[in-house]
Amino acid sequence: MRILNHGFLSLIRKPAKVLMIFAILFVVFSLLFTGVIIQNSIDESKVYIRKQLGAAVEYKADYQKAYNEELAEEDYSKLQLSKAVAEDIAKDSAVSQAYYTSSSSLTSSTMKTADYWERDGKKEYFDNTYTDENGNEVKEDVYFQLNGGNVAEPIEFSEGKYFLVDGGFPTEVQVEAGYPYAMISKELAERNNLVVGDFMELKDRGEHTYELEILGIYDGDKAGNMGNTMFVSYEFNSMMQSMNSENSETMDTVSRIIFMLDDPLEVDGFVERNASKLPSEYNYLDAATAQFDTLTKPLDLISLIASLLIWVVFGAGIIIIIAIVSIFVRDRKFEVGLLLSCGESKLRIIIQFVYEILCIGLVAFVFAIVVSNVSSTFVSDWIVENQLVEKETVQEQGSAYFETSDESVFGEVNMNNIAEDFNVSINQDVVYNLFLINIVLLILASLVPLSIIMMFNPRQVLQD
Amino acid sequence: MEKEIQFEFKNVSYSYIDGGKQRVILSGLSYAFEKGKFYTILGPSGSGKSTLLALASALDKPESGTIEYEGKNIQKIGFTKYRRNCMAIIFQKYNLTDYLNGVENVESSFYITDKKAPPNKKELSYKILSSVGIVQSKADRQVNKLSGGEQQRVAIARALAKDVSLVFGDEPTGALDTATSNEVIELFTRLSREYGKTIVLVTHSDEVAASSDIALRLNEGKLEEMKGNE
Repeated sequence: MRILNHGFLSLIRKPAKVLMIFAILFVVFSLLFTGVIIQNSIDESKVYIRKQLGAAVEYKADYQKAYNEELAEEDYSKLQLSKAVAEDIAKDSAVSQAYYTSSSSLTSSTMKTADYWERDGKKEYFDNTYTDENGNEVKEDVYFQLNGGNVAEPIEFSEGKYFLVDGGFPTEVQVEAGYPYAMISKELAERNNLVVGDFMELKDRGEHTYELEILGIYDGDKAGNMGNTMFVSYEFNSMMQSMNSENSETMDTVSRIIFMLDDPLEVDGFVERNASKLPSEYNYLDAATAQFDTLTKPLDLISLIASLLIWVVFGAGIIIIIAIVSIFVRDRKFEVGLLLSCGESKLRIIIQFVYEILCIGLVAFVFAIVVSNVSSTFVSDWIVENQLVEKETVQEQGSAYFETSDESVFGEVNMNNIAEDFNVSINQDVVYNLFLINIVLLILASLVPLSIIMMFNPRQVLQD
Repeated sequence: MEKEIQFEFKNVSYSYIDGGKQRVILSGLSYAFEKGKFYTILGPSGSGKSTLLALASALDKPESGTIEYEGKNIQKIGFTKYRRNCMAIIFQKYNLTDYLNGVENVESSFYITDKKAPPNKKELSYKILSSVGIVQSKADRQVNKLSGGEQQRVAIARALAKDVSLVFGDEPTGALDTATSNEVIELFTRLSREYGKTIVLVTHSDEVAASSDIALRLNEGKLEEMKGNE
């Protein structure tokens, strides 16, 4: 009671000192908070980018590296993906689903192709006839790409790239048993008057014939260019390939391996944990790291400056605040001696002084939060205008040699997305963290001079 | 009739190093202070009067020997607890809290004690202040707007509010004019006679000493009785 009452009276009856301390705390906090808010926004933007890129990690062969290092042809087996390794990696607790895909092809001499290109806004289907050297017109079989998946709903569907317009997905039993089903494109279905429940007769290189039941018809933004692609089961593909292989036992048919994690933010940790399990240096786990690094590079410089600002202001702030609080406490050394001589405990005196400093600090905190929020918005605008949007023109010039965007499972994100999303603002967590910094800083600053005074006996305190 | 001892020095010594040499201030000092008496301690500057008072009020520790309050070693009572519950001290410079007014200074005594604070602290504080000659209008003033004599009265009122039987004063009239000084000494005499408090004042003034029951002189680290007014 005395502590609160006297602490309050001391504050309101000594306004000059209170204002001086307030001004200094306000300046230090404003600088510190501006740095923290910017830093926090950058961190949030990085999280946003990571989330936009998705929670997929692809186990890939590094053809670029093999090409750069002029890998000998006999060593090309090092690029082969290993399903056994993938299954081991899939045991990681972060993995929610592992997708294994095998690729094969089948042909038909009776079906029409669904592959086309556009000229003047009109579709032109690829012609599978040509004239041979004798002048005879030869009709080639139409090739179909078969993507064999190990799950009922392939990743292209679960990630929303394609969607079913008719029919449904196979059952788990059909997938595991290698039942000859297929999900075909809407384009192919329309070109060949196929509907769900129809059977297609296709053949392989070895002239084996397969009858595939159409379970679903899909469409999607890019489905037109993938018109001849069918989705079948991994088991069916393996079975079919082994029928045509001389050495089927050693053959690893997997062509694509994707791990879908529960949380996009787990991606980096997952890659770090599992990179050592990969069988060769020509394999890697792709978490769109290069894209992430490219996108976050402009933010890193600002982040560095903000970090420097935080640490410099934090360091200098502690010294300044300790100095000012020391003056404040020293000025009241006599009062400390008086209270001690009256029998007041050292702890209660410390509590009273810390309480007073905290009261001033809290007001300075509120003002600093408001001011730093406004100043951070200016900095935010500058970052967006000068660092993000400007950099985008440079980014666009780059291209990835082996990138096939149609097959990418990573989310699409560019500088404009980030610039739109980059919004420096204070959320509850930031305020909470800043509040903690504020409290720790003030308590530290008050305790240092008080502890020095408390080391003396009351007589020394009163005499000096 | 057996004397009732309030407070006693037992073979107390105190020295400090000054310019590389050890300076002995108190050397095996022993003296028992009777309950309800008004004592003054005289002595030349540097004789150790203030040190004696600092040791008596547990503001400092003796090098050797013990100080007892009502037969108990104050170190065992605990210095803070002893200062809080057993004694009050009044300084030459009044030692009031400058951001509080007179009544708030006095009222603060009710909080710095282990005794249960009375419910009517403010009224009681005004009453105590009135008993030392501070009227309400002055009691409500910030203490630095009061005269020296008034501030010392507030300091005495604060000591009274502590409701302890032992009051020390370190030259409490040293900064006051003669008239005010006489009024303050009169107050101390009343405290001893009317309220039965043991008063121990350190002073340079023979006049103050003359007002006390027992005047002591600190000489070469030992206390000698100069006179007894009983």
